[in-house]
Amino acid sequence: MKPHFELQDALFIGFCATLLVVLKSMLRLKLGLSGHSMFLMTFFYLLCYGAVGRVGCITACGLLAGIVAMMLSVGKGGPLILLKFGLPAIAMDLALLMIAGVFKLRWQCVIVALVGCLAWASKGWVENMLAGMTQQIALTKFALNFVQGGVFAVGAALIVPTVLRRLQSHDLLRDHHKNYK
Amino acid sequence: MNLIELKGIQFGYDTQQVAILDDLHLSVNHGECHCISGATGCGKSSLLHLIAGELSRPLDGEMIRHPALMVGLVMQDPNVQLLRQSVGAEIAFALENLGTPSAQMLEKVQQSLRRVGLYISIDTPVEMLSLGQKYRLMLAAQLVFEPNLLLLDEPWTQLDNHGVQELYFVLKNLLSDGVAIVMVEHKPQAFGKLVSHLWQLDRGKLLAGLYLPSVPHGHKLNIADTIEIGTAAEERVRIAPHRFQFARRDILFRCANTLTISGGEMVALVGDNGSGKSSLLKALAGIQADIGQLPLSVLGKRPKLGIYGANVCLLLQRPSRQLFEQTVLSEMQFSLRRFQLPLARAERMLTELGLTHLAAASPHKLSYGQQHIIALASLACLKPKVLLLDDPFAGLDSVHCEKVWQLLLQLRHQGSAILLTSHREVPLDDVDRVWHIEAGFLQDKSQSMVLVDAS
Repeated sequence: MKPHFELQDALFIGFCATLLVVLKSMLRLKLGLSGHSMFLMTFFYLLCYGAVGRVGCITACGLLAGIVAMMLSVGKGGPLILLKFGLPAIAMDLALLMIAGVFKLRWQCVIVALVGCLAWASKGWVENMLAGMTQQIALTKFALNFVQGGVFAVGAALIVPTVLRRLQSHDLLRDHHKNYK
Repeated sequence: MNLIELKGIQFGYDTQQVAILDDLHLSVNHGECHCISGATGCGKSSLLHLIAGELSRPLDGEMIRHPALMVGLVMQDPNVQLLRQSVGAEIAFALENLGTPSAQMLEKVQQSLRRVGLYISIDTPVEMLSLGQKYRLMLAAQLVFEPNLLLLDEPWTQLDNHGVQELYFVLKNLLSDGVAIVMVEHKPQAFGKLVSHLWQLDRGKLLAGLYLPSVPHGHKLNIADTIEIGTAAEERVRIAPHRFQFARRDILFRCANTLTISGGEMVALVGDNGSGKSSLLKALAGIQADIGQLPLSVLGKRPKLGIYGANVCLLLQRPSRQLFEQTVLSEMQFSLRRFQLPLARAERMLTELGLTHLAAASPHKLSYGQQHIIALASLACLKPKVLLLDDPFAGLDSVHCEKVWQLLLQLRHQGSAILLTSHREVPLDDVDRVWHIEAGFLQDKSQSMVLVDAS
């Protein structure tokens, strides 16, 4: 881990959060597929982790993205959109506390992405339960969301190491001793 | 107190590589001119970036700066330093950051432009300038805030003779005003008596003296060789009489006679900065916009992007524009794979050029000169019928220049038609013909040069 948190790190976290919200609001994809939002979210969170490499950077990115989305009225969540961006980010950071350095970057990304997806699907499950859905249907919906979101999240996680390697080869990553494999 | 003092500096880009600066000592004081020479890629530019405080990587050793130190840096490729759209805005950028009152800016900006010999409007778009003019612009952008330490990266390479002469007088005045100068230069002779301290960077250390590698000078082909390639003498490039100008702009130059290049010929196109050399090369490659329909023909066709495949290759003046892979070897193999040519050519080319140690390195982290030679080698692997080279020797030391000459002669021998540009005179012994862009005219001056030589 790098000894100091530097301006470039802060700028990169802000860049990832802003680009995530901007792309989300610009594309407004009506794919009819539940979980496709996990693709962009996982991609930018993991990219942020790979480039900044500090505990809490994903949470910072998620909360920042949530605040930006709330201010720009992106999505349908209102103030709760902060949770939509923030919960998966916090879950991913917690997962990284346990598995950082244990696996190769590719597998680490996949596991963290799945944990993030689990948090995202859990949020839906809690919402459904609060709305009065029966436990059986809410759990089925949760499992379905997790699988669908998981596909997109894993897809994004598999791209991240390649993007990091490319950034590294262009001398754009400050942690230049790290091997992104 | 010295302006800046470096004590036992140790610095490297990667833990896996040898440190490029190793126990380096340097102290610079007011009115001194230090010139550093060294092999291509030995770390000269990195040293300048380090002095400028622009590299934030960790380093060992001590760097003591004078509290009043104000550093100006002009990089080897000025394009990476440009921030604004117009000439005036670019020069005023530093003044804006220093909080200079806007009423004083115009005069300071115009004064800086005149100092570097750029007599152009402050509204001129930066993209309209040639590389040499951009170099002068960046110099003006540094001089405007009156630095007391000026760092210059290979000015001789980027400037034509007129530009070097003007720079000489600018530097002379700066030195007499007490400004210190540190320049990285393969040709310190161009700045003659201005240089007070001459250094060579060797294995990370600064040693007194000029870097003078032993270069085997045997690149000239003999007559027998030239006769051998006569079979490939079909016309590859034809430039009919025309006026070369951009849309809604003045004429850049006129071409009064038809000029041709055949297979197995090497032609040099010589002209000052901004005379239109790069634009002509891009027009021949079919990638120059805003020039309308010109009577140019390459391989019997009007130049258009994408119609020639591996037969026509262009080396851009900024090699970083055409490098994109993650390693040097994959960069060289990219086009070979695309055109289904043997991939082994890439490794063979690296071995021939003595660059196998760079095979796994990222091409984006190499020095300007190394990038130039890798970009050229990537094109040479394809053995194109027409090779267009925009200033192929920029940033190269004499050893690497020699390697490039060998490579070009080999390609000529294999029947390639080669057109290379230079802002300095190229001896007729080295090339078959020399075209000049002079006083607004593009013409073949080989005949007159031969007559002058004979007389």
